[in-house]
Amino acid sequence: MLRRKFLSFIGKFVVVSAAVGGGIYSLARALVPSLLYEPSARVDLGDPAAYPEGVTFISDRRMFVVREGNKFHAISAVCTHLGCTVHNVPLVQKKDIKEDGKILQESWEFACPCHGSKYYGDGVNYAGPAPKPLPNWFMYISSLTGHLVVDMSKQVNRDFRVTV
Amino acid sequence: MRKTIRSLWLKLTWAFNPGTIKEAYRARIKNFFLHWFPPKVTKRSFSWSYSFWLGTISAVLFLITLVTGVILMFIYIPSTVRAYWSIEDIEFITHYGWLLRYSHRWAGHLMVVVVFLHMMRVFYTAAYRETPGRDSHRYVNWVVGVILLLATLFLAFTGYLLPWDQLSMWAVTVATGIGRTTPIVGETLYRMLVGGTTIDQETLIRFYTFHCIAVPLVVILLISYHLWRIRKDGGLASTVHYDVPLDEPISEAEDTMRVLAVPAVPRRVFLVTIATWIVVLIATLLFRAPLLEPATQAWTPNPAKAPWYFLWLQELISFTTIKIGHFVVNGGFVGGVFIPGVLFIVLAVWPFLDNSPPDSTGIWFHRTRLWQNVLFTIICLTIVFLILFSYYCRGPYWHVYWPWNRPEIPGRF
Amino acid sequence: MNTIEEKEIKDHYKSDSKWIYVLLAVLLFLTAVAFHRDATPQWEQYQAQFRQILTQKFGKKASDNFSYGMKQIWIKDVNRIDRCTTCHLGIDIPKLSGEDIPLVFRTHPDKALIDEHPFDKFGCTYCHGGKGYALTVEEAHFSNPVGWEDMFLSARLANRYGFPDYKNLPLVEMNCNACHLHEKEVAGLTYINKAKELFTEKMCTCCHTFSEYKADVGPDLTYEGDKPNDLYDFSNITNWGSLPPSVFSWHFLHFKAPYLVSPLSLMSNFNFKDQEIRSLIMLVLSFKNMPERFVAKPDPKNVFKPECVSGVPAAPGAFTGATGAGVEPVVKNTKM
Repeated sequence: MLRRKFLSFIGKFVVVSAAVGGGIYSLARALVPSLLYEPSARVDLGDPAAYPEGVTFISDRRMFVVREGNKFHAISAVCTHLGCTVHNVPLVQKKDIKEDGKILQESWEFACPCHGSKYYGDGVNYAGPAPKPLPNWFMYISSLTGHLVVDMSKQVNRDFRVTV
Repeated sequence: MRKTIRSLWLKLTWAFNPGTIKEAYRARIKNFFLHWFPPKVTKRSFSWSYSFWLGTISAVLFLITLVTGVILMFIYIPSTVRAYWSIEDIEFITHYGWLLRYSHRWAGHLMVVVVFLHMMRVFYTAAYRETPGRDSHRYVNWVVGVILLLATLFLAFTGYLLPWDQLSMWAVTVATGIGRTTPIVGETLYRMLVGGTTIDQETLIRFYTFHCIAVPLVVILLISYHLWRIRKDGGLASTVHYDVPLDEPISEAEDTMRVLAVPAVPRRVFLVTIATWIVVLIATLLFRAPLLEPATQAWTPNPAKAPWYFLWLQELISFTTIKIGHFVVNGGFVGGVFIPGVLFIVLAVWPFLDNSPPDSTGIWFHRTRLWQNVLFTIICLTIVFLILFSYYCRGPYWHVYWPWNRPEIPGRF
Repeated sequence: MNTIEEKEIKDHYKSDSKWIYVLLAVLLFLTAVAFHRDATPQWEQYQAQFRQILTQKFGKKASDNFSYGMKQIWIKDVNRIDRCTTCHLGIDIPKLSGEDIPLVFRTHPDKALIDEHPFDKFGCTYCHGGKGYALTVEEAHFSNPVGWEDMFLSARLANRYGFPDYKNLPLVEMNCNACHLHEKEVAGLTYINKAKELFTEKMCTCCHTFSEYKADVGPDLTYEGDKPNDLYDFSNITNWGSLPPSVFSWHFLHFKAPYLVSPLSLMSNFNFKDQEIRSLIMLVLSFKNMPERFVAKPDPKNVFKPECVSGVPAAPGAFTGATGAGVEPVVKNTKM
């Protein structure tokens, strides 16, 4: 007698919640976007000869293209703390920094205006709340056009360089 | 553990499943969802064949449009450049977007129909009449109901513009053009609605705000008042005294005509809700909502028809232009403002014009109300006929065709 | 002793409860139908098929690494969305060009053409027409002409209008010329090049205004491709013959015998051949208003200049032959 009542209760409960819950689920699912209106991860940066020595800021894709002689690499300008765009701070006097036991010289740094995070010129975070270094993006020269192309869906380590 | 779950469950649901009469009375006082219900209702007001529960169905349809509408608001973009594409995104790339959009449209259109039927029912049963010997004001509720009917039409109308396709743009051009013909206030009203001189971005954001916020707020307030008024006036109209306080004795005869409101009425409301949602869902699964080309001022579709609930007005305005010598009155005013204006005002004040005796209250087609019922029916049928005629028999250039003969403008290929 | 309040409830409408459960079961069924419809979109079937092909051709790793899901080409500056690549997944994969690959997945032919017109700058529908934002075959390819004028220019359509080489999608040339209008000759546009030759030879701009060439005898053709369908007068066409009723067919009958379609027309009967007519219709329907960025700038030696030149003997067929009204057309000289 008790089991029958319990089973009938479970049956009704399942039917009610499935029917009503199904409706509610569809409302919530509709709000999770499946297709985004965002520019593609691959960015054509144009002719490498057009880039000056040092750091160039690509504002609409939030990244820096760094040229050292004929070597290029791309660093993200999005602060790893909470997502503000960091500034490039050229250093009046070159600074010596110690990294992995080696001593490197840098002529610029990055600093975030939101909460004071600071990064060395190669993107390593050394002050402020930023938890990780700035990521570097994969880069290559397009065989079709000879242009620099950055793929923002692929991260590389900070020694990655493209030689033109 | 099982005891606490069981006691929690009982706490939440005891009000909907009262065991004794005492519990039934207390349920309405203690439970938030049940606080509107009276202690008892007459069997007649409860019956399907009396009211068909049309009022409840309208409220449920409104609720469906509200819920689907809120989710749609997250995705739809009220910009003349992006509106059309956001609707296409709703249709193709949003999960259940098609379900939301079609349900919203069907619930909205059904609401127009059901609200109209509800009004007809109240008229035929003279339920706008006061209960004799009781201080009630049902005529106020009738007027509020007429305002709700107009608000429903306005909601449907403002929503019609939002897809920003050729259908919307020109239907709204015609309809706002009608309003413009009103003397003195017409131009100002037009400016207020349209936000300029042509249907453009200003119009879209105004209609969007009307449709999503301003009018729903008004409707919610009016529905709340409408329901409060019903309780204050002693429930649905009838010649029978009921809703008598507990401590006043009532006759045995009267008591048999009444039933405990809780749990019968909330249970029936739940049943009506499920049934209405099923009907809307079936319509959603079977039929699509149309979407034509993106709107452009460059050309008007041929013919450009108003939404179906305004087609009777479009018919009227097409043949009521008066020309007597130099005296010309635009058909837009006569057929679009004057005639419907007169009809709605007469409708709103009808409780005062109705001279039939009080014992026709709450009775379908009482013989003392024969002539008013006939007149009312003729007007309603005329409106329906005009809508059907305009929908099926009007073709390009507004010429009349047999429905099977209606020419289509050939497409590009 | 039971007071009235402690009495058990006489539940008058218990049948309501049974009905509620029945309706909830119906609702459950309908909700399941709705779920099924949303969970099995048409494009997923195509993608499953593609996955199989990838596995066959390139192995499991390649087919797993491929990114599935809804795809779109979003050309931001003209606000255009093309979702064709959701099903047409192999369009930019060079190794899928074999005859054994189903047409839907095959690499886009004519690599040189695509290099000039990359997918992310041009999308698909600018050339092929159709409803780019749609995600079902019916909507994208065969949309109702009344609702959407940018028709998908399929081989089936070309066949319907009697193009002998319909398999090469000749109608697409019409969309090519929307941008390449100012060039006299464009490689690959056989129909359009011929049409431009005829347009110049027969000196259409002596009667019709076109772009900077003004005339006032016939209608302005500068944006004929943008002209709405119901501004065409179909009332004099009583017999479409084997042609489907459409604007294209209107032009066909009009080129064949202008006075039959427009009785008040002063346009001669040029006795064009059917293929010439098809070329001319495509030319005329390509006269559209395109965004500046898309319009191709011609080489100075290759400019399309359909001038009305006086003193030059009229090409055969021009201004001779019967006119419907029996009136000699008035020729205005645009060169002073």
